Amino acid sequence: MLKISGLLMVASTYLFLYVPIVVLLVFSFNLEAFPSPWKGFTLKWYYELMHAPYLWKAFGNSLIVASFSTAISLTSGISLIFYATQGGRVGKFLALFYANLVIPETILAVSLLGFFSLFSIPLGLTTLVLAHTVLGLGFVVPILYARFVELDPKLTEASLVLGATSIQTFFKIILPMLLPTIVTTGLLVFIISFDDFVLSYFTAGSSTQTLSLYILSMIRSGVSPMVNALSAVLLFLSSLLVLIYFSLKTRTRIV
Amino acid sequence: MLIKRLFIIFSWVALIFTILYFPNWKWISSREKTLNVFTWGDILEPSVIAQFEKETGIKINLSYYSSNEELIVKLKATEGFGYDLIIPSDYAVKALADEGLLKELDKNQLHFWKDINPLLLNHFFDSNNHFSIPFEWEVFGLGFDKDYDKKNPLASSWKMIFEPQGYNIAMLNDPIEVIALTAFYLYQTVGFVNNQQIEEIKNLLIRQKKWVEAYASFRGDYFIATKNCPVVVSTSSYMRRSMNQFPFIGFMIPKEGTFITIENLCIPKASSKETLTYQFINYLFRYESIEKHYQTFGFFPSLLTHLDLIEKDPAIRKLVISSPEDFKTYHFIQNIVSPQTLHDMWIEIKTN
Amino acid sequence: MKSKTTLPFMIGIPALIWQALFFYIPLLITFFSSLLHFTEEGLFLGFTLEKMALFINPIYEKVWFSSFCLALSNALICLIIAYPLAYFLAFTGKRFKNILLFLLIVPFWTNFLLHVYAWFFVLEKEGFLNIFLKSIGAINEPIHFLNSLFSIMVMMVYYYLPFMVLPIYFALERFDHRLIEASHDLGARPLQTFRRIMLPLTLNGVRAGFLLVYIPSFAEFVIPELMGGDKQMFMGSVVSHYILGEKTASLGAAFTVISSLILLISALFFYWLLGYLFKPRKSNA
Repeated sequence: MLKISGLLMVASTYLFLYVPIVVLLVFSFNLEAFPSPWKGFTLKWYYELMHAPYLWKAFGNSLIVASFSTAISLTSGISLIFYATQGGRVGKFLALFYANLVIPETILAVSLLGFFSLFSIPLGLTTLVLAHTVLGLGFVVPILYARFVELDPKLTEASLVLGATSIQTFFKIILPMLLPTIVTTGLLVFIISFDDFVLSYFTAGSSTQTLSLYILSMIRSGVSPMVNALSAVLLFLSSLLVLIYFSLKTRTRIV
Repeated sequence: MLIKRLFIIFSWVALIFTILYFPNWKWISSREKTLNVFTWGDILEPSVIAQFEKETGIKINLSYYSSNEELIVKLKATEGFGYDLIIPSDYAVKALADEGLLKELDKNQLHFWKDINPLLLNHFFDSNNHFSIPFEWEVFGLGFDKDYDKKNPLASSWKMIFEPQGYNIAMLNDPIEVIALTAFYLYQTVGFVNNQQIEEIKNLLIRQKKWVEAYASFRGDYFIATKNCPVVVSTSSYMRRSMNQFPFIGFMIPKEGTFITIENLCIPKASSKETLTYQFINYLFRYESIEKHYQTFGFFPSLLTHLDLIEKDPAIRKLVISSPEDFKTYHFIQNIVSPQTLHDMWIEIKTN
Repeated sequence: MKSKTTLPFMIGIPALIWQALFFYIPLLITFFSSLLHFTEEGLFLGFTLEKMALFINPIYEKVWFSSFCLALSNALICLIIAYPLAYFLAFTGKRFKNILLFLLIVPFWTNFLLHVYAWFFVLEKEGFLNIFLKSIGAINEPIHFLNSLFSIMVMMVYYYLPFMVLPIYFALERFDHRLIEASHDLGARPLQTFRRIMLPLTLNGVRAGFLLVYIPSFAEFVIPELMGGDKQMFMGSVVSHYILGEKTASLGAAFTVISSLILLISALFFYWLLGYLFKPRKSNA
């Protein structure tokens, strides 16, 4: 009895999650734009999507920003964790990275904008990468540090006792053990940056558009089935990424 | 030890800031045959630019601003240096000219000058058009559902949105525009309003909320097409664009008058590439460029030649030509309250 | 045993510099620009609480109250839906579990603006929901869903649900299922088991999920604009207006500072409240 109502509840929740998506996908093939009802099957919106002028530039920008911010936050985050866990006082400062979750993105975005204005830093791709890296570090450091302390210290000790340097130990022992978590965290940060909206809204400036900002301008100015087609494409890409994420997750215990 | 660490920290900070300031460095190297154009996102069509580049071999570097304030601040900061052509709106021309940031125009270089719509010249912001060439313009007005109008004829008046008519509307979402429009409707004034008037404007807008479906400057056609709102407040350019997609959408300017925006081409004082710039300007005023821009963006052109080829709808053509009497009823939007009052009013309206 | 070659300071420190420079310093700048008094030309005059005082005003108090209600109701609704869902996810078979998790994360990893857009298709006057209800005879006239508080809430829950589900799910994963059986064997009814055993032991997950939803919801402004017709102002909308407006940036900073305080205090309160209500209690044996 409880089981049936439980199943019903789960089913309706997933229905709630997916009905809009399915409707969106269906209408990406509709001959006429919303609000016309179903008129016939067509691929023309996908064709238009391929030839939209500024869309692919925005897509490219999002890709660049996401890639760079993921790369920077991963490398600097790992370096910091490694450096801090060697001993010394720096380790206490790791706690500073947990504040990212407590501050809403809007407040961070607005503060960064103030920072940029104060120093007359021109807004654009550079400021976007900077802002997204801050976002990324808020995930990279806490997640990887948590994973790091879970690692068996005996392996590291053994390596050091056997004469390997700290750096050799890091590259040959610790890094491979951390690798699955590094990749999954990297994926997470990449997606968060790629889909990010609020931070980009305030720090991109008028000359640079990310995909989110492009979609916003399209939504603000009406309805076009091209957005449906775009959604279908992005959904497909996300599914691929989630699949990769899942196949790696089975090898690690932390998100 | 500590000194060494501080030095390392300082070096990293210096490196990061250098990279952050990098976009500024691009301006320092300006190649010979390039023009730096600073403009709105939706005024210049990419294919028009591409065609110009192909024909003349001059490269156009586009950068964008999303408000006149941004343009003014940027230009003041660089003292006009770095840009060869800008497209400010009416009042922004005056603001820039007053700061001495604009170059005087040589009308002899402009081959189309005699064909410019005279009604667009000699306005408050540049009385002899020393610095500005009217490029495109638009007015605020009411977009409406033609089918609804056939069944329940709409009057050509702002009453259609300020008094309950039994339908929902979409209202503009910019506080300056909304408050100026309301003041115009209530008092036929475009200048400063006193405190009592501010209260009345606020109360009217709060009352109006009852039949506002949404505040959206740019989704009017969506609301009309989904039959949510038979009447929406919008701009002529946006509605003109929507008409291409939805033939049942119409546009009208209420008889009481409305607000106009004129986008102008100006040359910053510090630019040294006038020959190239004049080439580009002349190109922009060619028939093909004007037609392309009109089809894509819907802004009314400032040249009246070939109008019957560009605009097939006689009602719209009439709007574009406009008469001197019509133009007397077109006003420019000004700030009629202080920024703080503006924000307070807007937020109070929205939270009620 | 420390080895001679360790990772140098130069390599390890950039992340910390980044965090200090681009997270904490901007926040400090916001804080101070709300307190400092400058003339038109930029001459420093001194400290002032004037800017903040501007916002002690019924208009803005309404804004904070709206944001508070929005965030709280969103968190509560998400909690009610998420807990059973997380429970189901944690205790089903492995293959099914992975599929369900996959289905949960895919929308989460897709650009949220597209989801907003998708809901237009569902909630419109001639959208999916109305057509469906009409076809089963439940209604005659289409219901006006969009541009209302209802559509805002729907979208908020839709977007923030995974934030609540995942922490509770992880907490439940570590939960020993036998405790439920034991409790049942000892005669407790399901509700008692839930209240006395499950909730306290998954408290950290519940708290994490609650705050992960409550805190960002408080500052949310995009969803109310797109789904609510921008007819309501919330904290984020006001911040956006002031910061992006002409010459009002420092006022925006002042408003942000006060809002952050309100947010922080309320968040701490809820954190404590959840603990007070559901903390594991020592038995009086």
